[in-house]
Amino acid sequence: MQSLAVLITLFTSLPAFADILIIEPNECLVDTTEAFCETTITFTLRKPVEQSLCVYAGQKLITCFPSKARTVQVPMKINRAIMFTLKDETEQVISSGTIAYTLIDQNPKRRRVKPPWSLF
Amino acid sequence: MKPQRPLFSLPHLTLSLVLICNYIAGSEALASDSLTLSNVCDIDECITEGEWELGVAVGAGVRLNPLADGDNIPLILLPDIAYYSEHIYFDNFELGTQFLPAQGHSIEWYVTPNAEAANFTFWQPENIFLPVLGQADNSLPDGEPLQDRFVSLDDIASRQWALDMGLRWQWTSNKFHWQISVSHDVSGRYSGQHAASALTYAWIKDDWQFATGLQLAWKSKALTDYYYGLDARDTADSQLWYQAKGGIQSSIQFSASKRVSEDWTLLIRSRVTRLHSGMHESPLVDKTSTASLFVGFGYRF
Repeated sequence: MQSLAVLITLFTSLPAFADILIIEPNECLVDTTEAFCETTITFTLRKPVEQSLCVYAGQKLITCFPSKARTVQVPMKINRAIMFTLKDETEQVISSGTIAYTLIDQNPKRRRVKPPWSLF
Repeated sequence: MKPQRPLFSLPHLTLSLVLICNYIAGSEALASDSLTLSNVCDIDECITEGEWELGVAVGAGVRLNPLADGDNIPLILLPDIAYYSEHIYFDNFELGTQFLPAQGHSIEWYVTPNAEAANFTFWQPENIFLPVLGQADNSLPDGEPLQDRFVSLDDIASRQWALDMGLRWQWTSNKFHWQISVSHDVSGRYSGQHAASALTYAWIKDDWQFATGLQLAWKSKALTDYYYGLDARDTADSQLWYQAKGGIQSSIQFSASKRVSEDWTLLIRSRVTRLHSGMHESPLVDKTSTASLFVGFGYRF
């Protein structure tokens, strides 16, 4: 099979805010390698947090949650699996989530006209 | 006088093996909660469109040669080469086009080499002994016994490979697979036809895939006579000529395979064929049945 499922999942080590970040959608499905998914990603805080929080992809700032807001949306083009981290104002990581990048096998399977290795 | 055939020959042993394997694997299938082939492409007989399937099987096997003094055909390395596009396919030396009129049905129009010549590729006798035909008791009119007549290899015209064009219909449903085919020589070698109908039953048990089937094949007079007849091209002595008739031959086959790793598959292939009288009554043939058996491992590149 050709389908590739690339899943990279990391979790932070602070139980108080573990899994606080919800990412939707969390998977990009494509039918050819290096194809893009163009979509709007919704970042949601599972519970309200008093701190100022921002979402990063690596070192790149993606967005910040406005005061008292629990949801923020960002349009994005995705061509690989991405891990997002949620950081406070001191840039300490308090949560994370991933978007998987999955290649779908487009070619159908067919039954062969005779069994394999059937020379006799 | 034709050579005496042994009481127990490889065809008998192979047939016994086929029947025993069918009994064991079949009883297991009936008694077990084995998976059904609800999807016709749940098995290794499927290929992804647009991709080459290349493999080689290594093992031990033999295909009996029905020709008198014919060398049995060793089966040590078996290639597997296949490519299917949306309508054109190449599958182990068969090139064709396929139509899929309905779920589980397919129709193929193809060209492929005729395999009868393979027997002659592994046939290197120095002499074959031929009875004088037309004599009831193999003796001269005055009662004197007739000496055996023989023809040397130099006298026998070579039997060439032929190219067949055929049409085949296949139907697959759950565990059963049925196919009917008709073929005609387009290379001008034997200028005849042959046809076949085969019913196969396949099932999965644990990690094994099993299949067993019965085939009836009709070989035309032209086909049989070209390969197994004797006429002026072989010898000027008309008393040695043999005009072969067409006929129907039956085959039973059993196969099993098990994927042992991502690239390797354990393979067992066996077949027993009862030859029709037009063929086995030929002076060139000294067996009434033939068989093949192969056990080995197939590797997918």
